[in-house]
Amino acid sequence: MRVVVDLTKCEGYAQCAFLAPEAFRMVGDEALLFDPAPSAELGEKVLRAAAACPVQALQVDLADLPVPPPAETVVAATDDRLRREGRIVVAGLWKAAT
Amino acid sequence: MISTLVLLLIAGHETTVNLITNGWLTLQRHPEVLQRLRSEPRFAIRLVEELLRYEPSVHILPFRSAISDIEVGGTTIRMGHPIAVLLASGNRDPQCFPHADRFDPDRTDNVHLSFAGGIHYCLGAPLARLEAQLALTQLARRLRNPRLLADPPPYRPSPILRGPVHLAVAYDSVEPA
Ligand code: SF4
Repeated sequence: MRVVVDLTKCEGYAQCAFLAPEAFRMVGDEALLFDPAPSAELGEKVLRAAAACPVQALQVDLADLPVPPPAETVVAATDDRLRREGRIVVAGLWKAAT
Repeated sequence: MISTLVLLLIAGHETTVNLITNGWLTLQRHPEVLQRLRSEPRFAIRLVEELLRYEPSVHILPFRSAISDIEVGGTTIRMGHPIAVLLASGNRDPQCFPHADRFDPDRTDNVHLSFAGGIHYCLGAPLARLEAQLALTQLARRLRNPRLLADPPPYRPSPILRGPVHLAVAYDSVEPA
């Protein structure tokens, strides 16, 4: 399965992180850390996350395609599995005015 | 504290009851969609988004006010002026949703407003979505020959929360889980 987040749309609502925490996680208030190739057993949860995204920023391809290398590697000295494997961080913006 | 709990009770209970009830009513009115819910795995996920758009539990968010001057369609809403947000009307905006008055669970890019938006986006949205997906799927799979006893059902007279007082449904039997 492949997951793509449209960076121009994502606003950090974190709905995906509630519905599929294995594949999406908020880092701080506004940055989204996600797994671009979640395992197939997460299919239902990831589809729920994609449907729930308020700005429809998530695209999911259920087919098992080869995954391109991450666009940006996150180097952090933690034992966080997602980080060690080098995933993508997306900075989102709150839409609400302050 | 007490008022927060009261708010959570109303927000978390009545809205979800309305979502499930409005959802079931809509399914009974669209038997081909009800049939798909019985047979297609994961169909409930997209279906619930379209139900949220088409028959939202909360139609109007009253008692808002502008925190700065806002330009909308050539009109300026002055800072501090009261605003009522017509969520249900926005959900039928033909510029956002093609054939907006049609119930279409195959709709993509369904950016409905039913949980509002921005920093006050509904706190209970993930729970409400799951509850509706699971409840409607179970009802569809387990009720044999369900049918409405009154269509339309009697509605609560609220312009804000939309939902029937009750929805009477007859069925022949209940399949085991
Ligand atoms: S992808 Fe959607 S649900 Fe996930 S953080 Fe971004 S805006 Fe929120």
